[in-house]
Amino acid sequence: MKLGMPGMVLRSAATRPATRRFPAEIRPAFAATRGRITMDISKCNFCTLCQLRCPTGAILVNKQEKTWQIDRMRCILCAACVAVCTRKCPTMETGYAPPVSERRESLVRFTQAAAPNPAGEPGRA
Amino acid sequence: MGTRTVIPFGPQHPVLPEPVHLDLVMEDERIVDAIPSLGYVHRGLEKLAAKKDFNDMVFVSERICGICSFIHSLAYSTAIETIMKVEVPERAQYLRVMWAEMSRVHSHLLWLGLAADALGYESLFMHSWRVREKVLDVIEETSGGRVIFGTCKIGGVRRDVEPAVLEKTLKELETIEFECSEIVHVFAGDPSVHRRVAGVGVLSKDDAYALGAVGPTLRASGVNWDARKLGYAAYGKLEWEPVVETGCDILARVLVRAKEIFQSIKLIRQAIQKMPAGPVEVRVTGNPSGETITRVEQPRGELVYHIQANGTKNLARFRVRTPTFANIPPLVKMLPGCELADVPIIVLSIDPCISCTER
Repeated sequence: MKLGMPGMVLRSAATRPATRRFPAEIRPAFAATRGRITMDISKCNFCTLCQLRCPTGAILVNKQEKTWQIDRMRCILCAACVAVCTRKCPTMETGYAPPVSERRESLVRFTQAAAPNPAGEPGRA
Repeated sequence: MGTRTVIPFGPQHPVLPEPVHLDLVMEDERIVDAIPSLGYVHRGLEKLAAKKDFNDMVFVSERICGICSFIHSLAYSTAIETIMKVEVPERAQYLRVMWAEMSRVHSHLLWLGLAADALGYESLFMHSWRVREKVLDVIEETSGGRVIFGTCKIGGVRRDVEPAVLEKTLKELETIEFECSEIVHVFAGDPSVHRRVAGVGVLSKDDAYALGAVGPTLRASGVNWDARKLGYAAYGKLEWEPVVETGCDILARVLVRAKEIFQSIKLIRQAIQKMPAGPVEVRVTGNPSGETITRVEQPRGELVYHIQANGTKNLARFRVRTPTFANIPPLVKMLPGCELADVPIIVLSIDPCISCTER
């Protein structure tokens, strides 16, 4: 039955809010959600294909230093790097990258043979 | 004849979601003439197309508009596929229809909310956007993004949708359809909405046709034309009829958009049910060479892509004619004769998307 506006307003007043109390209550991410790019650096052979295919130039690969760096502020989460990698190193995670207050904090560097994941980048699952 | 006053309207105005400027020539409270000026958010898209790889331009074209994003990438991909004579797999065609219609549902709900807000009907605005949120969830579950789908590519789509997710989408659509029907019931029957919009912003059928109005603005003036009837993607294989109203006023535009929500939901349902199994993309090699014009229907009206390719990886020309651009002459026709207080709702009635227009 269609209520009309007074009915809809009364129903809203009597039921739970449609919104969530955000930090306390987080909606679980969908499996398909494009949250952020993460990197399995141990498999990487530094072919720079992802750097070439990145439409915004967010990825910087250094073969000499064996580093793979992504600028999260530039990344548009198109997953072109995920699609192009033959070794399946970059993958899409469902959790968003945490907010940063300065531009340089958005640079995340992965180094091979060192710690596989950068420290200090916690994110929501 | 009284003294004439010019009132500048925009580019910053509480009711305008985006920057457009109108010089309103007034005689007392009545508008005599309206002179639009654009150019506040120009982004130089044509130049960018000459520098970017044509494959990467899919991502750029999707970001021309934040609301009809998928339809931009669909138009761009279709244009390049026409030039390169690529046969897109059937499943991809149906997935494209599904996503295009989802963005139409969310765009129309967004507009209904904005229209309610411009009428001063806050609670209706909140309810429209509450339902829109459910549509965005469906979009996120199927494509991975909330407004930027990122799923279209030259030669098909980049992501297949699992049958289980499609089943869930069909269920979700039933809830959305019911909740939309409640909101549309208010728009169609509430006396306060009728008093505000009935008979305001009249655009006659002849004017709409002569000035080249597109989309719901055209169909609300009684012209039966919808670019989806051209049969791009899988629209030619689905059963539907364009929504036409003959009121010629803002109420008719509200009703066209409201009815198109249900039409889109039916189209999504048909597309999911008729979707064949199979691959979702074909490999496209080489560079395009040739010229084409592609027309697709956005929530706001007909979108035209003109692409000229010269066999290199960059396009020679890339021109986008967005529906709002075509709807500005009809808007200027609607304004003279109306009251100053009606200007915001009349401007909003064409669903202006200025950032698209200026590209």
